[in-house]
Amino acid sequence: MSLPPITRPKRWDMPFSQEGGHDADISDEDVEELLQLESFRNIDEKGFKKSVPLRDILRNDVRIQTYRAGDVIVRHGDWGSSAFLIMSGAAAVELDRGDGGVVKRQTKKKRRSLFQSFAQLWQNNRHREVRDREAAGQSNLRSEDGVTRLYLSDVSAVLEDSKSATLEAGQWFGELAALGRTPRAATVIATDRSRLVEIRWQGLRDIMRFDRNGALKGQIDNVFRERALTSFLKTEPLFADLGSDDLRQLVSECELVTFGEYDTATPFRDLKSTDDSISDEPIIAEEGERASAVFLIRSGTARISRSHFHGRKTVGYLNPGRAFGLSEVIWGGKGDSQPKYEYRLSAIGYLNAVLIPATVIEALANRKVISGPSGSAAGEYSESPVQEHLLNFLVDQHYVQGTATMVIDLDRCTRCDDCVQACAVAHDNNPRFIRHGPVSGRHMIANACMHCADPVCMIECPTGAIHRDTNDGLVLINESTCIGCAQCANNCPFDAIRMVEVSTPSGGVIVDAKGTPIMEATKCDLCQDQHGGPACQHACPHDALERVDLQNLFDQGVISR
Amino acid sequence: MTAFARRRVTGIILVVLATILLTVLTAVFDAAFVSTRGVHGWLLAAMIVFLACYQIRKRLTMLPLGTSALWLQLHIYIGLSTLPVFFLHTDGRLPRGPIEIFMLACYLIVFLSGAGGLLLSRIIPPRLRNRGGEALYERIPGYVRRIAAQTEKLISTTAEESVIRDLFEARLRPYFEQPANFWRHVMHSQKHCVLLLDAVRDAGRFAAEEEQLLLNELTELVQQKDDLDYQYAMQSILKYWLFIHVPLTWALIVMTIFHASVALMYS
Repeated sequence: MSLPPITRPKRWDMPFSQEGGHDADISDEDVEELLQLESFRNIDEKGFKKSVPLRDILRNDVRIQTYRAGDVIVRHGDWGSSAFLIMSGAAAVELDRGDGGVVKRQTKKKRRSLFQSFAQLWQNNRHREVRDREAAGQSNLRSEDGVTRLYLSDVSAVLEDSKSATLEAGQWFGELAALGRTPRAATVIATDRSRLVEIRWQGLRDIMRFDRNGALKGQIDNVFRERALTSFLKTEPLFADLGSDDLRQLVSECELVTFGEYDTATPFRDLKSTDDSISDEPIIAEEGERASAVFLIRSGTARISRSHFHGRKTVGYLNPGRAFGLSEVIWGGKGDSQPKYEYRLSAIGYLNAVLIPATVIEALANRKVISGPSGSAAGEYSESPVQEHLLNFLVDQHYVQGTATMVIDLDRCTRCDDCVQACAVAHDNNPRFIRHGPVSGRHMIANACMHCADPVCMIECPTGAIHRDTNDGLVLINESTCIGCAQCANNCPFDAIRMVEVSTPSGGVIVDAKGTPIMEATKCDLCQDQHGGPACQHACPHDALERVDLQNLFDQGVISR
Repeated sequence: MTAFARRRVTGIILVVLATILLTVLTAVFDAAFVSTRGVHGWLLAAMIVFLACYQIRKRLTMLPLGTSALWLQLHIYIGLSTLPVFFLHTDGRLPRGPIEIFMLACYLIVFLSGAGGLLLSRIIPPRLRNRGGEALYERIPGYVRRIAAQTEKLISTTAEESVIRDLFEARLRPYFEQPANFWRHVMHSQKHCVLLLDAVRDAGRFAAEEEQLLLNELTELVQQKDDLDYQYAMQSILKYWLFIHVPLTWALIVMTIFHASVALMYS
């Protein structure tokens, strides 16, 4: 029996101008207007592939948005997948980032007192997913043309109280977060009625890649060097003591490189790899080739592997902030032969890195300004205590993103569900995970939010309801600003976010004017307001369940069994 | 030695040392003609109450009372320690009255069910994992219904009179309808599954060529259902042994209070 043919999905099936409730097509006139802008005027259209012409990029990967004074354009900490160019009007970048900034998120849940904790026994609601709708109505949200926006009531007064810089027509912002898939570094608020070009990171990447003149790439690279590179390089211990002249020199020689792809038209869950993913991964540095550069990971995860008979063996992985190739460049360079990479480095999903040419490192090492790692690359990467099949499973399935992954040892778990019950008690009788999930050997990765290092669930949240707690880095959902669009649930590759119908305390489902139930995203909050941390882990009688930080595989009880 | 094995050895050594200490102290006091029976009695009562508190701790997950795993370790080794204390308290004599016999029975059932439960909780999880087909207990009946529906659908494609339909009505329908072979799974027997698969294989000799594929699918479904039945049986055992252990613990506490009151009244 054969299924009826379906139309093969294409990159631009859903133009950016139609996404997330937006409904304003980019017309030919709009494209012409965009091509008159300073940033796009000098782009050489001839360099673009026939399948990806510049005009189609502008038509499908761009949307033009109008903001009123006071509208929040991007918010500090939000995950961004698009960049902005101001066409007209102005915006303010909030420089004072202390205390959550002028646009405060939901304040951190206060830890319950002992009595409040105890009282959960009888105060928890009998009905599922009960919400206080009155509290939800207090947020500053407004809807216009199907788009929900956060706004500040009195923007000038608010900005007077904090340090800010002004962005004017022709200036870009948000490109670093978009290309690096990192959180927005600052809040940007429209101070005037403004028209902005918002471009998907894929479109921006393609323009930078195919423009022979390289005008936009130069512009973006300069912004990156000015705003972020110096501070990023200083985070690498190797360069921490570098003098300002050496650092400036280093910054000028570095290159920002990206590997792997993701497309917002493809759900992020599809990033979870197939059995043979290792051979499909884009290679950053190849084993046995001349070590021509050191790579510092800015965002994403990279796999370190070596050849093993006819296949490849995963040795470990690198997270943001870690470097690859240092041992080879410094340690290998001391011999007579040319240094070669001892392992292959490949990108898992999307990866953003800083490439430092080996010549720069060697020069610094020769002048003894920096000293490299003490041993060989083999010593640096081959100490993972985790069994190989488990390591492969964790890397292949992207679980290494998790900073609080729920790992269950099936050889000790008696399936008593004490963990689920404890979770329910801590969350008003609504358990926030399912004790089930993929299994590798004796380990199960349960369907619980892993609080990823690179939380793709946060990309495309229109209101910033899903956010990273500034204090402890947990990925949390602000119930009062969640509009139930399910973007986060659709993007989560691990099915860890569930959309639920919310109820009143009497058990009635809350509905909108059309009678459609109000939905909200829910997930594990790692029992932020409870005593003693995650209730699931504390309730497990058999030491079977642990919340594991897979960013660091060392000293992790349950996964080293 | 794994961390768990180290912990086990440490726990057992502590229990043995505590037992030796208590026995020596008892001998010393006995030599001095000081009765220790009351002390043993109160110690045993305190231990039993503490052991029962674990059930309360499990309900108070929201309070910072230490992890459940720590409480279970205390529960296991204090539970084990009750045996020598009980022996010292009774001087190793068998009870004479009906109340004492009932108390002894309660104690022994609670102790043995606890020890058995601990053993089961160490033996069954690896078996469940090795067998595969991991499923949430509450969802198993749903999965069983789904497989049954799948089977019905397969059978509906066969002719009214066929060897597969005969086999289905005679052997497979009752098998697929609900969780089956509970006790065989508990005994870790696979005989029922082997026999059923033999029957399906035998039917293949009389089946038409186009029905062979269907028999293969049926074989697969029989295996899937058997895995689910195994999960259901074993997870049931893991859940329901507590229905012996916990109620009798509370019965034992009531009897202990009664026993202590009578002892105090007549001492």
